[in-house]
Amino acid sequence: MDKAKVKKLIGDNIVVVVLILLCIGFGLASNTFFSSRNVSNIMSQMCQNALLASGLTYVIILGGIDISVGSIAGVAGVIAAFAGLQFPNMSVAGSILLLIGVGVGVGFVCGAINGGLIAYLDVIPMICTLSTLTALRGVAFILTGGQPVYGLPDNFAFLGAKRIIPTPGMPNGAVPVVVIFTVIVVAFMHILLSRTVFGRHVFAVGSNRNVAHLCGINVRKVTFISHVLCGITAGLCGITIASKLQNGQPNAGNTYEMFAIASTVLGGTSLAGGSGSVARAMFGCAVIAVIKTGMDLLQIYSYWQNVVIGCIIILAVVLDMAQKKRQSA
Amino acid sequence: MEPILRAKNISKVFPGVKALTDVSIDFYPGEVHALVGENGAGKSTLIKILSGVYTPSEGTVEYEGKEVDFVNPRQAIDAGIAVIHQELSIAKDLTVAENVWLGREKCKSMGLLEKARMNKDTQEILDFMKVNLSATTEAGLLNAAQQQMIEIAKVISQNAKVVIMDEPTSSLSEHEIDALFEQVRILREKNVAIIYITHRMKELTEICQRVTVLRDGCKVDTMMVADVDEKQIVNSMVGREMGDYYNKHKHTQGEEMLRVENLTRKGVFEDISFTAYAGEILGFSGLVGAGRTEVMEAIFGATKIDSGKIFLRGEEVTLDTPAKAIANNLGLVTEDRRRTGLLLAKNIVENTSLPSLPAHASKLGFVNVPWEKKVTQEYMDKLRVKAPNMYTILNTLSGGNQQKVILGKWMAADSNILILDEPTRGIDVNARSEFYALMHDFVTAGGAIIMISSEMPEIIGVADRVLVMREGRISGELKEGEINEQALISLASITSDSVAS
Repeated sequence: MDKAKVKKLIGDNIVVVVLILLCIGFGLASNTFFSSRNVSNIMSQMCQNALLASGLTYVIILGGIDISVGSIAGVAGVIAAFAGLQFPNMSVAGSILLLIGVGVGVGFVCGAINGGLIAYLDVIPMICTLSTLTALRGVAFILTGGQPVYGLPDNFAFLGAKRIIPTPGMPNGAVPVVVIFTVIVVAFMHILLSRTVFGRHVFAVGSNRNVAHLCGINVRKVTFISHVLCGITAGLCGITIASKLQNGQPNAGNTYEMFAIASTVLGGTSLAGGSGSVARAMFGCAVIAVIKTGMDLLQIYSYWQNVVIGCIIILAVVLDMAQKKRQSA
Repeated sequence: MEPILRAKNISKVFPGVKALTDVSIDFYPGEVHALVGENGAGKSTLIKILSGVYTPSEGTVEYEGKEVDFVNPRQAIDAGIAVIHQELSIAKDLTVAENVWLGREKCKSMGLLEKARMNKDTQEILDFMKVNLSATTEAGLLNAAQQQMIEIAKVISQNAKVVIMDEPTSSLSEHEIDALFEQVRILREKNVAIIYITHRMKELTEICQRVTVLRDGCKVDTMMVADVDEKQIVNSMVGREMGDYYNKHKHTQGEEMLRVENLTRKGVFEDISFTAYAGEILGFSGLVGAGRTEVMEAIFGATKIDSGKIFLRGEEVTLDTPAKAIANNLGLVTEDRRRTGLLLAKNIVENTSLPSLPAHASKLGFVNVPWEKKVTQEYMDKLRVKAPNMYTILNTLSGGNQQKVILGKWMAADSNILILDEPTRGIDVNARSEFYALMHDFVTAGGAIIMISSEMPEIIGVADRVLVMREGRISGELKEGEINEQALISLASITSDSVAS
């Protein structure tokens, strides 16, 4: 391989390089970073963010944005909790079905509101989802009266908090159920985007709406469905939070959108639209999760963590723009 | 009388094209000097050089007796050379006065605007122009003609000594044109030199004193309008030598492919009827803005029609979305490759397969990757696309190769009726003749081509039959043997006769 190719390979996979460097750095700075407990911890912490990012990737490739995902997650979690109260004797399978049903249902409705406004009424995505961010958070508080919904059966927590496959070091299970669930959803979202005609259409619309329209693509429909998908993954994120906490917090998912957007952009999805990948967004999620847990281990004040994450987003966006400029030059 | 502005032996070379060759023109104060010539004759290049947008490759510009070397439009404006573009540059949310002073706002110390003074000055100019407008009206509330008055007020406020007007009447109605001419006369009385670009022959006799004809980047002649008639001017616009790179073939008209009856979109095109046959290249000629592109977009389902019928192979169809047109084997190669033709940041495979993906997808909606690779390679070979491989990003290809990818895209979608809108724009000569050969192959194989072109030699050299459009209507049809520049120009130009009728 010649130099130019190596350079391109690194350039295309910069997020992987950053991830490895971060792991080495935190690994050297803290001797517990690579412990199986911490790795498992990082993975389960990643899940909510990964679910959000998998759907966000679609709308960001379209050149849009959805900042209401955190609020959608909040509403879905609260409704899942109310639903869970109706079945005090629920089985594990029943709880999984109930949670997924609520997550998909609430996510679909919220996504369809965003998608309808953006695709068919041409509302600017940022303004539209800023409004739904506020409104849906309000809904979560109205439904709960501002109080967390307690008293849920233990099985309700299976999806979000339980671990399976015990190992000698971790008798309670090494693999969190939520990780398996997330992997399945993310894999579905990745394949849908990268292997299907619909996925191609998302890229085409994001690259150039006019061209997509003249190639027979129903631009509005593609935009609508993408927002619905983004809503559904946000709903699923919300039910995993509720399940993990075994209660319904009206405030759950608050500000998660920032981390999800950061992960997606770190994963190389361009905010200008047209390119991106769900799989790479997962590396972005890993970077964020590693930074957060790493800073926890190093006992960095949590307010500073927000500053660091914010700076990383700016850096990612600046790099993205620089790359765009280089390409068009 | 001394000329105020002189172009002296100006040539302008762009990569691959010589846009102007040794053009010398004198412009006199108090005179309206028309620049005429067909599309691509070099008019816009010349005015861009005079107004500081381009610098000439050779030759000089003299202004008020001194050689000048404007490096940007601002310097030209400051010196007193103003341009009123065909597309008006009005900020719709600002008032008339704010538009007039835009970029040159009068300020007090501390940077505060002198609103009252700007309003008063603007009102004085408007009154001087005898137009019934208030300086404080929001510009967006005004119609096109009134907005043009803002541009003229701006020019007066700049104390411009030379005003370049690029087809100022193209969007005006008959009586608005009279109002505009009144302003042109006022400018003349102020001893301003006016350079007036137009396609409308009748305007020459109405307000112009001198006319210069450009053809293929060369000056043909400068004449006093009083000494010549319309016919002589039109004659001097034509008569170029034709290159033989068209390599014109004779085609045999086959069965009817597309028939359009009374297609109308109000205010854009009206009563368009024509038939395109297999084995034939049907040319669409006319001036830019005659409505040709709009008609084709409507047929392709990209825009709506108010009335009219479309028949494909004898059967009436409704093509209200591009998807339906594509399913009926229509393909549209748009005029603007970069904006509406290609996904520039995507590779050749993704571009080639885009319109046909749904037709070849698996039941679950997965992309048929082996098929798309096969078909892309097939058309890259057939059309001789020069690229390292099929995963090359479109941005890195030359214009000619990009155009071949678009053609391949529609061939991969099994199009048998191709609409080509200015297909060879921005493509060098070799790539052009290659492209014409591909068009020939396509119709010989039983396809139908409709080609819009504003370049007359291309129409003459390539089309088997030609329809000419003028101001949203078909003004005539030319069959084999009748297609020549004379006929094309007289059908396309807005002459006294056509306006009167």
